[in-house]
Amino acid sequence: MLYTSYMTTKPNDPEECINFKKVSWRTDTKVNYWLFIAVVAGLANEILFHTIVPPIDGVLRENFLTWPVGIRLIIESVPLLAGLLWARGLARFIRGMDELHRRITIEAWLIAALATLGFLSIWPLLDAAGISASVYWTTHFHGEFTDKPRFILGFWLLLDKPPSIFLTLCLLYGFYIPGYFILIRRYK
Amino acid sequence: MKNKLRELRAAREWSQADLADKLGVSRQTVNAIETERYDPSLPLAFKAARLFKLRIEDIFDDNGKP
Repeated sequence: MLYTSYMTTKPNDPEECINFKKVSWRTDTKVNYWLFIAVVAGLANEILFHTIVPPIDGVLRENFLTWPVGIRLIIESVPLLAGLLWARGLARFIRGMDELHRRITIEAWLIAALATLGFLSIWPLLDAAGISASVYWTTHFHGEFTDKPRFILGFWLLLDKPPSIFLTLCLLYGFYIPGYFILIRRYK
Repeated sequence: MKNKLRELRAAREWSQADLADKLGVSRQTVNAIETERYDPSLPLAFKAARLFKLRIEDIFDDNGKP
């Protein structure tokens, strides 16, 4: 929504986007529908077929492992394919932007992509160093969560396993939004 | 990069939004060029030169940088 809110007429106007003066859900959906599909498919995948949090398995996890390999491959590939189609749509959209905004957006996505890559690369090392587990156990007491905010715990638990498409997209957007706001300040 | 965009625009009593509209860019782009925070692309510089009926070097000055 951040960058698609004012694309009913070209060129895109970054100020209109930032101040949320006009929001075009139609345009936003047009650019981002593959992202929505990727996120929903990724989340459904997590809930149905994978371990949601360490003690809880996905709803269909046991059955899923007995399904034919081809079917499992197709199911697992849906979020990735949708993610790639979203990247293609986003690249086309960026090409049509006003040149200053194009530069800012590309820089913000570059930072987000590198930060996500760095984060996902360092995570197994933190995990191997026992940092992940120690944080997990300090936030978890006799099956009851302590006073840590729930959403932080939820995010932590989501990270406490191999990265998924859902998590990767969340991280990408999580890094993109602050990056965009920091970069846009340069040109004000 | 130094430029005379602000003076040329003011001489014609155009707002930044008017100029942005004529050049097909956002108002923020015009503002960033005028305040020398952003150097325009070559196609945009040509567009501006054509709009003001001047040469590119009459509008933009890079102080003879190689």
